[in-house]
Amino acid sequence: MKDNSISGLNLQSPAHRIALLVGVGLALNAALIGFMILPLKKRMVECLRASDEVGFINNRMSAVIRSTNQKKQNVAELQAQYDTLRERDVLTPLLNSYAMRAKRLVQPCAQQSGLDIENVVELSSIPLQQPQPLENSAFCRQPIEFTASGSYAQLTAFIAAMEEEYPMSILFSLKINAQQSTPETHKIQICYEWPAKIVHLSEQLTATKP
Amino acid sequence: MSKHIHLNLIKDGELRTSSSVRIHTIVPVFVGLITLGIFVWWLYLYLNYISLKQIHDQHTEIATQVKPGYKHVLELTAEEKELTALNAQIIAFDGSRLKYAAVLKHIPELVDPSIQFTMIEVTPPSPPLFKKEAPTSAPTNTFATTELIITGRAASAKVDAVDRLLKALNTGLSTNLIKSAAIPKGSLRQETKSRDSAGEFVLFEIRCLCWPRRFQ
Amino acid sequence: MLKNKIQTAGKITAAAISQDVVGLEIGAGLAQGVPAVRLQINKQQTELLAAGFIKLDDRFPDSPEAFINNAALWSLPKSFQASRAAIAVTSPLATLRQSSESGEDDSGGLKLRKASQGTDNQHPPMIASMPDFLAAWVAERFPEGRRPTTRSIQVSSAAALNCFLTGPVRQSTTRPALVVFCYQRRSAIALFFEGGLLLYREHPVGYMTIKESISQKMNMDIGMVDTMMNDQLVDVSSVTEPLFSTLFRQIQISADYLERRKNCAVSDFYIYGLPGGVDHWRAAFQKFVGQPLHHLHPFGGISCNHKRLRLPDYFENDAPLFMTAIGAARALLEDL
Repeated sequence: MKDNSISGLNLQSPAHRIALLVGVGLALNAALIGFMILPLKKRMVECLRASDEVGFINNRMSAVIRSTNQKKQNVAELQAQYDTLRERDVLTPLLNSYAMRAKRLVQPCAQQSGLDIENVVELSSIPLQQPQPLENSAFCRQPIEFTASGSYAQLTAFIAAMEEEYPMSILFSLKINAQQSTPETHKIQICYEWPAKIVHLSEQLTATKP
Repeated sequence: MSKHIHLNLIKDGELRTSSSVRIHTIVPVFVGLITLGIFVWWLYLYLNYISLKQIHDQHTEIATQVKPGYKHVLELTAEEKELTALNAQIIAFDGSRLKYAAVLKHIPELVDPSIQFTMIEVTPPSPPLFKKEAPTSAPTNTFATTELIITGRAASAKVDAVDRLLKALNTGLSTNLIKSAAIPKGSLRQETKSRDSAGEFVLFEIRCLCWPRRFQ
Repeated sequence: MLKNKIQTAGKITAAAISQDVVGLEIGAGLAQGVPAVRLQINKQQTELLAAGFIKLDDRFPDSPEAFINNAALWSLPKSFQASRAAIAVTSPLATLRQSSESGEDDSGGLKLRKASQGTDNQHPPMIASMPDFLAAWVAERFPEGRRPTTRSIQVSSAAALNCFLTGPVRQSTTRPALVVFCYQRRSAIALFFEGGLLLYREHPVGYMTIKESISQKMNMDIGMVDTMMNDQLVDVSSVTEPLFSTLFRQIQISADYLERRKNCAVSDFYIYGLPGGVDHWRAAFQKFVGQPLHHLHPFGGISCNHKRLRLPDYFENDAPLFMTAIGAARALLEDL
């Protein structure tokens, strides 16, 4: 008679065969659950999470996009304001010289007031103080010192003209020394500061390129 | 009297049932049904997964379409922020302006003819402060102070005129520029008499503390 | 109370569901196959649903060691798939005897399975026995979960008796009767008195014994012997007489037994199981015993709807060969 037993099970016995079949079936079911169902469920959860995430981002982006026109309008207004301020008030170098630019600016006022500008010197720029300190400020304070001569009245007229003509230019320092030899004409050292755009080296090089 | 002879040699344990509904059938069928159920369950989950994936793909597609517009808005926002900052900087500079013309024009009206100015100086504003540990960082203060210094000489007998000038600088139109004016201790002194001088003169120095320039 | 009601309902339901039985005789060694009949009780009448020879492998294990573990399970044609099967076993190891002794083991070392039943209190009980391994083997032939399942295992000698006990002759009269059940190589002699089995004995002469003797002595094949015996073309009494005489002598002795014991003579002599040569047997019996011998059809008392049931062509000639199968089926039917 052949040996029909497996590990103590008698395969001739229907009960043992059924038990073996049921055991194999349950093991198969457990394997199906472990290798097919659970990984699939995990993938589903991940997919759902990713989908929700993308959906949430889409909603957020769509909400943001709805403000496009308003943003465009704001930017246009700010740009216009900036352009105005920059063109009117910001000191731009003339051939890389703030002093020359400043001299050109003040010349009409000087002529108008009678003050004689003898010399102009560009002083070191000063970082611009801000209510909210900015590490990378676009502007700095650029003082330009003028050496002039003239009377006190001419000087005050000059200062008044500057205040009228260039609201953004601020009197930085002033020194009037009376001269014994010419009591009516004083030696004047007057310094004005303007806001100036900080030009980085790379921009300078780009600007000078043909 | 028995109608028939039935000498049955089968044992009770050998009796079988022809019904297919037996434990030997039910249990394997049950296990088979569980297996089938698992397959059906897997199929259901798989269809759900496919559906979820389609939704996810749709969302991704939408995201791809929406991204350029969103990016544009972000650029606009950055631009807006930058322009706002730039404008704020310029406006802050503007806010720090002090007007000297009116006061300088007014000073001669305050001065007695006996007083002679030798120098008028507006000092450069105080330099900005920086963090000690980061000296190249942005300034930490938003104001700068400046002084108006008037030095001159007056006849000894006309010292009161200096006092009047001082008082005038502390009041009226001057107060638009000048916060306080004072003669520092020791700055009112006798001028060294020279051979050519016709009388006795005193030298004075009036220091006027101007209102701080506020960058805001 | 409730339990009894449930059991009764169960029985009624079971009875209502299916009262059909398939009877088989295995081990007969017939060339045609295993005789099988399917009967059912229909309105208190036994009805034939199917009859025929089935090709089944009915080779027995002849010893416990030769128990064929892997013998194929049987499967019957659809027309024979009753809910229950009654199997009559024809084997030298399966015996039926009338005995007043109890539990005597003359098995020669084999473990025997026995069953006994008395037809009435006056007569010794009948004891059927067969080796346990043989009964177990038979019990496992039909698988579980399919029709039929084995409900009755009988010794063929006992099964055959029911042909007469449940047949129309016995139903109609209780006169003393002697019935010969003729097998291939043996005959059983049963003496019935007042409805009960008074005497049972067997004699080693059957219809094949007679035919083989004729075939051998007259140098002709069995088929030719059948023709000769049926048509009575040749007088074979010289060949058959010695065999008949031994058998009929036993019949006479049995009849005398009745006269001695019960002081009455056998009224009728019957014979079952002859597939052919009935006239020859009758003539020989008349000559020897001086009494008529009535050949009984084993299907007696069984109705048949010929419109629904188409019996094979050989059926009329081979009907006697179904004696044991019918007896086994009727025995189980009576107990349902």
